[in-house]
Amino acid sequence: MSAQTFKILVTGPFAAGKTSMIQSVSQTHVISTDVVTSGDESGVKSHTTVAMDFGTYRLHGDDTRLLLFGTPGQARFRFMTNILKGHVDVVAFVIDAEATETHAVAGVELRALARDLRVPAVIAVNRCDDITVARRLARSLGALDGEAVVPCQLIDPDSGREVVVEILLTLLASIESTTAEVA
Amino acid sequence: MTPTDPTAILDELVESIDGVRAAILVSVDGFGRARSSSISDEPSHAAMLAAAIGLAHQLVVMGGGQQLRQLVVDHDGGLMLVWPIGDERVLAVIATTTVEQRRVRAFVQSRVAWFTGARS
Amino acid sequence: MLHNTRTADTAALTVDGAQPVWMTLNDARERAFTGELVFEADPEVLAYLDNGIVYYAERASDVSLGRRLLDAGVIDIGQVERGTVRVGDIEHLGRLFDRDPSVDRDAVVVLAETSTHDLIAELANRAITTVRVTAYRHHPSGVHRWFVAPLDAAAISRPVSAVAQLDTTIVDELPGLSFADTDADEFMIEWDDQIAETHPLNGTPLTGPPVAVIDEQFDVADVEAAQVIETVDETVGTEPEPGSEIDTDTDEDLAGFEFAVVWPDGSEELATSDTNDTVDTNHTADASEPMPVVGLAPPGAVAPIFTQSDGGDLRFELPPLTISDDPEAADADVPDEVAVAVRRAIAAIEAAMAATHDFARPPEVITQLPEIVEIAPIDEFDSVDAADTADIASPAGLDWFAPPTMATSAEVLYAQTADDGPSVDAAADAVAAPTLVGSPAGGVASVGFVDEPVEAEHDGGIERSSALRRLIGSLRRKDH
Repeated sequence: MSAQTFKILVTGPFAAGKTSMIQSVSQTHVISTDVVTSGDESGVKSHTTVAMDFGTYRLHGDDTRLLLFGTPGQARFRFMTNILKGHVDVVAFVIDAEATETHAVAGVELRALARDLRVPAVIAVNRCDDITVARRLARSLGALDGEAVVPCQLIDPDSGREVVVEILLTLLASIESTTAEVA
Repeated sequence: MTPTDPTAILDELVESIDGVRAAILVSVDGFGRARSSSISDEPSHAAMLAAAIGLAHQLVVMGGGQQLRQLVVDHDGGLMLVWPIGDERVLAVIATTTVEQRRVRAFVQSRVAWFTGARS
Repeated sequence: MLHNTRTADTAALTVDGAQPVWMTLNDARERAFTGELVFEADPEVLAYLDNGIVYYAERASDVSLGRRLLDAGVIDIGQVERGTVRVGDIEHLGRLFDRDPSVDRDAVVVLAETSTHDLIAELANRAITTVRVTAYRHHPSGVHRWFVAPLDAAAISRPVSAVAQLDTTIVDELPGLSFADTDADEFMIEWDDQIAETHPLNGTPLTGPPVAVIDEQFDVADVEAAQVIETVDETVGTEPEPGSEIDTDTDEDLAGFEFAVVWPDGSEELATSDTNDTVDTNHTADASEPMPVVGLAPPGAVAPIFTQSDGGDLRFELPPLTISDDPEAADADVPDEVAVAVRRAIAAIEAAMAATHDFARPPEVITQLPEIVEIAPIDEFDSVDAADTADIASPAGLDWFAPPTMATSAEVLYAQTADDGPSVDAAADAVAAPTLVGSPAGGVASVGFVDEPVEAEHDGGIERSSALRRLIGSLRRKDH
């Protein structure tokens, strides 16, 4: 039996909650290329990711493992997301429901992400408890109807873990539907 | 009069040292701060440099070190010397292969205050 | 009819009666001759050809090229000084544009071309009795390099001063292209068009037009190893249309060669001269045939951390790091250019690991981290006030410098490596893509980008599904 590795790309606008999500799951210290923010962004957060966050989770007893990559969501770092999105199994786009000023830009980034995307995508709506609200927001960003939407509170690690479970379930559904087609 | 604003200093760097073609000063989070007149204003440059330095810091840890001194891109078109300046700035110098690196370093070092903005 | 009279160093051709120079030049073109032709006139005219095309010509009595450029005002004394490499009596201008980017390359090249054209035009109709031929001799000023990018050791393997020393095992493993020195005794040019002529070396009948016979040995670069490098280079283009434009098909690449080789067993390989898009439009040739371009490794390749191509597809590939005890070979042999490209890629990574090196010391073995030369650290200051990001000076109206790209590199525009053997394109398909081999601190799992293919949905369905289920189950169960 060969080792199975599953990779999740986590992206989304500045300060949406990506790093929190990864930290909620990672068993290893999340390697983060975090730096001090400058300009307007420093008013929102003191630090920001400039290259990527990296976290891992491994099953006890076998070689199955999960790798999580978080990329900065700002437009200027889009190249990082573009590099990684072709190498992962599923993509999660995190948006902060309450940071409405980021929504327009988020829509741009989500559409850019969707371009040439060959794997399933999940929209995680942070600071949101209502699935209806979450779906509405996701659609307004340009999410497709079939895409999974998950409301969450990423400040809470349990919530983060649940989101990752949802992401993996989405991936599972995708794998099994394809397998069924092939069969 | 000695130039004191970063752009003028970078222009002086390019003009006074043979082999230096261009120089860019960026913030660690990927914004351009100043550049020599010899290079165009390209937002992706700043972001890529910030990402590269960010990753280079990780490589330092991987290599058992603690402090990144420089990142050098050595290619058939020349050299790119990338230096962290303080905690929040990164300077990239685009040069020919035969540039006198020491001279460039000395030049930058003597003016580092103006790159970090501590002096005006 | 021409026949040879061998003198000590060069083969001199004599004619029965004089032959107009244009006829000789046409012969040279048909044979894709590379080297020097000296027409015995008064004063002598020296013409330099590459693949049958005259790239430069001057009279024996002319002042040096550098002087002429200076007198014509296309270059100033400072540029000449910076741009000239002086070795003994030789003043080498080949690297003029590399050493001093302020030089107006177009003006310089135009001047050289114009004077060449004028001279050849003047000479073309004169009947010359004796022509001295020296194959593979180029003009000592090094101007050949303006028009042709050679795979010469010096150009490629400039020592990287002040940076961590390089691991050379990869270079050592790749045999460079080696050329036996042109042995004058074995050198002949058959100008005789008679088809019945027998092969000069082994007497077998020639069926085609005779070609320059040069007793050489080619060691074709280890193609597979070269392929690795080609892959790395391909993926590190910094601008649109990088290495993806480079043809990695071996057969096609071989066809791009412009030199003719007659092997000792009499078999000929006369490469076709396909018209190529990247024609050197500044060529001095009075021939209508464009000089084909055999591509080099894409210049401007950066350390392969990440790169972006036009289509948004990016690669994140790093070559494996190895430390070896092998002494760094002197770069006396002509290294395969692709090997050098990989060396450089590795150097960029190693540079982040090691401190600046002692400048004065020549490159040496890397078996341990080099001695760290203390350069006074740049002073650290308190964090800066977040200066407004909009405060970037607008261009002062000067020409801006764009980092070199595949499209703009002069090497690409003028590239021609025919006389130096197979180009980088000869490196064919990708071999195993490099992986990031890491032992990151803290026991973090290594990042497996390339060695683990993106699991397609079709992949090993059941096994994968069950592993994923287990993963999900585990995450669901986790307590604080």
